[in-house]
Amino acid sequence: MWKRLNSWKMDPENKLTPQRSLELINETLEGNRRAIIAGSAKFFFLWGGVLALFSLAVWFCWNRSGNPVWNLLWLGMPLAGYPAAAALARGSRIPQNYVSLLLGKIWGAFAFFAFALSGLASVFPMDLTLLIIVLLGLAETISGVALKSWPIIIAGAVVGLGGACAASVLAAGPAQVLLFTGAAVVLALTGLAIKLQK
Amino acid sequence: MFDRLDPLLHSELRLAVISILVSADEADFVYLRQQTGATAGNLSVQLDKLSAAGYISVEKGFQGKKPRTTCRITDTGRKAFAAYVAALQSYIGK
Repeated sequence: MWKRLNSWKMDPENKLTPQRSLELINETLEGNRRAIIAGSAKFFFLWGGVLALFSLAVWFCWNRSGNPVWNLLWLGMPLAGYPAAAALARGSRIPQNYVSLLLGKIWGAFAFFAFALSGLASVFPMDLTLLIIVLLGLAETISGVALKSWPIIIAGAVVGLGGACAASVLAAGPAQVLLFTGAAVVLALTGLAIKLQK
Repeated sequence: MFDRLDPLLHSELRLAVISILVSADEADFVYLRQQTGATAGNLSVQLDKLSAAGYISVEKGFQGKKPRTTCRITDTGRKAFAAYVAALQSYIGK
């Protein structure tokens, strides 16, 4: 539908029928929504890559040393990811709208809860992997709902529900960290699905 | 009785531009050109018309070393768009 709009030779003085005007407005809004979804793909790639890198680093160091203190490496994730995401956003021509602003707030809330829970876990013992993987899946599913994108909704459910089951089965330890590597792969695949959908 | 359709918005390209801007905080010239499929010259003329009517604001600046023209819809433009859609509905409903 959007391709058809782009293919028109738009005559600025062309007289429209009221019906055609409404169709044009709908198609333009839909095209904008699609452009914003397509623009979100690179952020899924970026955060998928960053998450994969840090989860593998934590797993490797924790596994080798047997010391969970290597979980502190997670603190480097926002330090590496946010400047890269900001640089990507600056270089993008895709405009911001309420959906993209909402996405930023969804993932900001996820980051806040993930780090707050990590801090609280040092005082109140809890299954942190399970909680964070559910939050990650939830954030992705809500993003998919906001973008009206089934690949993202399904990927979020796979990460959240599949991750919760796997976290319950796996014994606490470095192996659980690999769940985040799996989640990272799903995030990157979500980006790929969005690209292919475009 | 049919409501009068705003002649400034009742053209394909200007309507497409204002529809993009009504759903975005701002959009740059290149994005508008890509989304509408218009030529740079044609788009530029239509943006000037919308800007002269106070429907959009146009800001010329730089992104790094590259020039960048950014467009935003104004309150006047938003109201005109809402009135235009309401007028369209009066046609469609009858």
